[in-house]
Formats: sequence, structure tokens, C-alpha cells
Amino acid sequence: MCRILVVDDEDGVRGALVRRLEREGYTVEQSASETEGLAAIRDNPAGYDVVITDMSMDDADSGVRVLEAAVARDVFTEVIVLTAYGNVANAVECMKRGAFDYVEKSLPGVDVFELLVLKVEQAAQRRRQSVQTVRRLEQYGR
Amino acid sequence: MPHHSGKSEKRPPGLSLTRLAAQTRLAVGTSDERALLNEYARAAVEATDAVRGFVALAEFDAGGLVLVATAGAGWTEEHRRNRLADRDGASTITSVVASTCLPVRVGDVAESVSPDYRPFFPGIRSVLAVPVALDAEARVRGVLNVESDRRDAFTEEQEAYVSVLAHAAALRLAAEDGRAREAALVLMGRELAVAPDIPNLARRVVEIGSDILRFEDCSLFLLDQASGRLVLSATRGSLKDQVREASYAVGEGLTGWVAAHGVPVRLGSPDADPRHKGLYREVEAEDAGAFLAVPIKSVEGVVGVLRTLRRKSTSPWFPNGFTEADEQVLATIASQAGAAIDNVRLLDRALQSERMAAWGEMSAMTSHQIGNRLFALKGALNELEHVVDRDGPPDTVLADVKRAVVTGLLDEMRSGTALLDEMLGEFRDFVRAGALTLAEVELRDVVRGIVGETFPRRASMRLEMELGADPLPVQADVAKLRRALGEIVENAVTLRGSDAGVLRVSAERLAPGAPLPHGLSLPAANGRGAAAGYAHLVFADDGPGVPAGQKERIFRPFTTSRSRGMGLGLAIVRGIIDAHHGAIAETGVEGEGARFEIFLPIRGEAV
Repeated sequence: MCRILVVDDEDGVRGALVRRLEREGYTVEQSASETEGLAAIRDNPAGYDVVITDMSMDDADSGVRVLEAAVARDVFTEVIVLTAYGNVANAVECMKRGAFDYVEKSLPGVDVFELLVLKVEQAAQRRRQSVQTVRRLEQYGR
Repeated sequence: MPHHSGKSEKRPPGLSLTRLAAQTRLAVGTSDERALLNEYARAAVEATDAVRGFVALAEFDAGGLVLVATAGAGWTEEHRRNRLADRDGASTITSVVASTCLPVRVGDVAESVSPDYRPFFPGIRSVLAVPVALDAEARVRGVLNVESDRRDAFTEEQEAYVSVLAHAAALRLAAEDGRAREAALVLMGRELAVAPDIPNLARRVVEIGSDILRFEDCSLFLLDQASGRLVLSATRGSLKDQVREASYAVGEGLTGWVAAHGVPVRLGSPDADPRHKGLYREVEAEDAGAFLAVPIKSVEGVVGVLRTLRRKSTSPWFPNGFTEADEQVLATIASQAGAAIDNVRLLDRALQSERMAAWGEMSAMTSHQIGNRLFALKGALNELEHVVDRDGPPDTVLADVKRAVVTGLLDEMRSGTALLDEMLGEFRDFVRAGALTLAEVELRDVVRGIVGETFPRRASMRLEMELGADPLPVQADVAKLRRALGEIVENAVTLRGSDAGVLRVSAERLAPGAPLPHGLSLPAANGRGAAAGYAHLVFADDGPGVPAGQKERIFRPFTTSRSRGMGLGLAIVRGIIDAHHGAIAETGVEGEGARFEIFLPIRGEAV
């Protein structure tokens, strides 16, 4: 079962994301701020498979801090950062810090929800592969 | 010299060295220039035992000499008025001295001057007239004159004595002139440094120029950035009613010539010059005696012309053209005015960009909020579509008829949100036009790429691209340039409709300092880009074009001829080009097609 954390301070955005992802069969938890998100990541015993976070919440770098916390907690957690349209510089910064990908929230002519579902699927798959690879390496090492 | 013998034996009563010393001392001691000249007229009469004497000073505005001090017997108001100011230019001894700058001493006017010589006072036999002038300026400031009813009344010694007085007066007058100029320039500098805006600044330049420097008819023309014409901005002459209306094209007439070439023009008779057009003149062409115009330069090049005219001299023998010194003074005023204009414009620009930044921040926040709501709305629509399941099996809860209605509404809502997305994107592009991520690129490659991507591959419209052989290295944000140039290409294609047509794209390199057409100017981007010249891009189509009155308007935000979008397209383009320290203008002819010219600074050598 794939577990996803959605961090966004906009109720409407968070609600739409949670609903869509649950429809795809994921277990989705949600946090309504950067602080809540960081707490959820810290306190969750197993670590999330995928974290989806808004870039700009308390300030323009909230997403970066959520990303760093998630990766620090579990190096295989895949993080997808949501950015406003055109804010590519910020997104590139996230990629450098190990985000799986970034999605621009209003990309003219693109159904962003479909795109996001696709990205989440790919992210979840990469996490599974990474975890499997590590397990195999560990077994080999024994 | 029999007629001198009687006087040379004893020193005349007035010729005293002590007295001369006291009199020359006055030139540095008294504060009143007029009193000094009156005293010198009196002293000259006394020293030479003359009947009367006077000092006449040159009046450069009108031409001719004006009596300013008189001494001795017989002066009436009528004499003072008439003397020396007559237009017929009859040659008098004084006028000879004024035009030759040499002293004249005549023992018997009836014999030695022409027979039709008519003295102002009857019975005059001897005249002594010396110039009041500095040798360095080949121009007489005035004449000191004494006369007597005796024959051979004046000696060489007396001439020397009177000459000393004239020299002292000349030095004093020159010092006075210099002080006035200095005061004017200091005042000008002080006032211009704090001029609140350009109209006020222009007015003060003209006022100070006219009042203190005695440039009677002084006019200031400033280059209007929108029209590219030199527009009369302030004047002290008869053109007063035409301020903001009278204008020259750059290169048109003498005034336009000065702006086009950036060098001063100083002429004796302007109407004889082939460049002269006389479109707007302070005096009638036949009255114009002298013309002086200097360019006003700012860091962005020539921004205006300061000019002054003088009427023809009322006395043909008296030259009243502008001197080298006049030109230097006017040029000094012009350079101060140029610096002041720079100040005002920089301040304007700083305020403008501060305002833009605040506005941009606010709009970025707003559009972020709207974007989020829109995102949620699309999510809800997405979900609704899922629930309605338009392609699914017949539903018992939602009758198929209703389902058809709901899916129709869904489609409308979807296209609505898509349109909102597009508008939001346009708005964000506008707000962010100035935030560049620069890289060094070859502009020709960028243009080729953008045109290739944007220009539709359909046969009906033709593309002609001529990008030249000169490399065009520029500092640019390629994504932003793509947005800007793509918009122009798209406009051309969209407005042309389905007709066949042609889009011509060209690029060339302009030399550093090459004047930009249409009065465009590039902001001095730390001086580096401009130093290496400009890249000049032209996008010309043969569509409907832009009406003459709309050429500036189309770049303003919220201007559109299309029903879609927010009308920010060309405002975004200008924002992006401006941010690259470039310039853009639409220069086509309505009915023949639109023609967008873009200038971008070439990246200079690293400094």
C-alpha cells in the first residue's frame, strides 16, 4: 500500500489533490502548513512513499524545507513539488536537492491532475525499485 | 604742427597723473558701473578741456551704440535719444571707432571728414574718440568721445590720457560681464540640480539664459520620445504661443541639424544657410541677424537643442553676431541642462520601477491566490466528471438525459477554466517580464529557433529570413525572448488570417553610437552594452498594419484587437525588451503591414 502525504496550505487545493489520489487507490494523509507537514514527516514511524508539497506556503522556500525533511527522514521518499506557473528557478533548486519532479499548478492546456497522477505513479514505482535494490544489496552483503 | 605749439608748452590743467591714478582707482573701487562711466565722461572732458563728451556702449541685441553717460554742455533728452541709434547708418566718427576698434583724433572735422559730415552739435571742430574694448575680443564694447568747438583742440597726450580711462572702463565692463555670466551659470547649476520636472527645468533654462546672459530670444526644444520630434518646450520670444506645438523632425532645419549631428551651429545670417527652413522663428527671416544653437546632450545622446536668435543690427557698420564666448556660455548651459534632464529622468525611472515592483509583488500574490483557487476548481471538475462517468454504463440514479446535460456543462466549465489559465499565464508573463535569467547567446540562433518553432508550417504564408553574417552576441533570457518574439510572429500570423502573405524577419548589427531611428533611445545599461553597438531585428508582415495614432498605444497593457486574452501581449513584449536594455517600436504603414523593429545592445568586450 502506497502512502502519500499532501502538504498545502490551501484547503481547496489540498482537498482536490487528496480526493483525486484516493480515487487512484492511494492512502493519503494531509498537512495544512509547512509546520504540520514537518511534524507529520518527523512523527510518522514508517516514512512516506511519496510527499507532494506546495512550494510557497509560509514563505517562498517552504517546499524546500519540506523536501529536505522528507529526504532526511527516509532517503527513498520521493518528493513532488507544486509550483506556481513560471516559477522555474525555484523548481530547479528543488531538483538539485533531490526532488523527484516538480509540477506547475496552472499549465495552460494541460490537465495538471492527470499529470500529477502520472508523476505520483512514476515516483511510487521508483521508490519501490530503490527499496528493492537496497534489500537485494543487503541480502547479497550478508 | 603749428596749431599744437601753443598747448604743448604747458600741461593742460586737467592732465594730472595724480588725478588719473584716482580715476583709474575708481574702476576697481566703485560698485556702480554707470557712475563710473559718468565719471569717466566727466574726467575726459575735464582733462581735455573739451566742450562735452560721452560714453556710448554697444547694445548687442539690437545692434548699435547707446549713450549711457554724458558730460559737458548742451545735452538734451532729444540728443541722447537720437544720437547713434539711427537706422540709416550714417557714418560718424564714433561709428568708425566702433567698427575699426581704433582711436580717431580729428583737428578740423570740416576738412578731414567727409563734406556731408553732420555733427550733432553745431560748431564742432575737433573730435577725439577712443574705443572701449579688450584687444582679445575683436569687438568693441563702447566708445569714449570728447569734442570741442576749437580747431586742433586735442593733443596726443590727451588722447593717451583718455585712452587710459577707456581701457580701465573696458576692463571693468569685461569683469562685470564675466561676473554676470558666472552668476548665471552658478544660478543655473543650482536651480537645475533641484528642478522638479522637465517643463520647469526648460522654463528656467530659457529664463536665466535670456535675463542674465542677454540672449533676447531664447528657445529650448526637447526630443519627444514618443514622436521622435524636437518639440518647443520653453521660449522667451515671440513663439510663446506655440510651446508644445512647434516641432522639428530631427535633421529638419538648422535646429534639427544640430540635434542630428550633435554639434553647435553659429551663423551670421541664418536665412542664407541652405539648412535653414524657418519653420518657427522668433523674428522674421529678413530681420534675423545671427543664429546660435547648441545640442543638449544626456547620457543617452542628444535630447534637445537650445537656440537663440538675434535681430539684424540697426547699424549696418556694427557687427552683432554671436561670439565664440557666447557659444561657450550657451554650450555650458546646455550641458548643465543635459545633466539635469538625466537626473529628472533617472528619478522618474527609479520611481516608476519602484512602483512597478510594488505592483508586481501585489499582482504576483494575487495571481498565486487565483491560481490556487483555479487549481482546486479544476480538481472539483475532474472529480465531478469522474462521478458522472460520461462514458460509463447507464445509471439508474442519473438518467442519461441528465447526464448529457451535465457533461455539456462540464465541457463549458472546462473551457472556461482553460481560458482563465491562459489569462493568468498572460498576466504572470506581464508581471514577470523584467525578471531575467541572463546568459550569453548568439541572437541569430535564438531568432532562427524561435521563428522555426512559432511560425506555422502551412503553405499559405511565406517566411523570408535574412539574418546577416555578423555575429550578434547578446546577454539575454532566452525563454523570455522566446515569449516576446513568439508573440510578434504569432500576431503577424493570426492577423493575416487565412490569406497568403509574407513575414520578413531580418537581423543586422549596428555600429556603436549609430543613431536609432524614430527617436528611440536605449537606456544606458551600465554603459557596456551600448559601447559595442546594437543588434537590430525587424519583423515585417504585409497584414493590415497599425494606424499612425496607435503605434505607441499598442504597447500599453490591456490593449487588444482580439477578443481573446487580456491585451497584455505587446506590453509583455515591451517589458521583456526593456528589461534587456533594448528598445522596440512599430514603424510600419497602415494598410501595408506591421513592422516591428527591435534593438538589443550587443554584449561588449569584458571590462
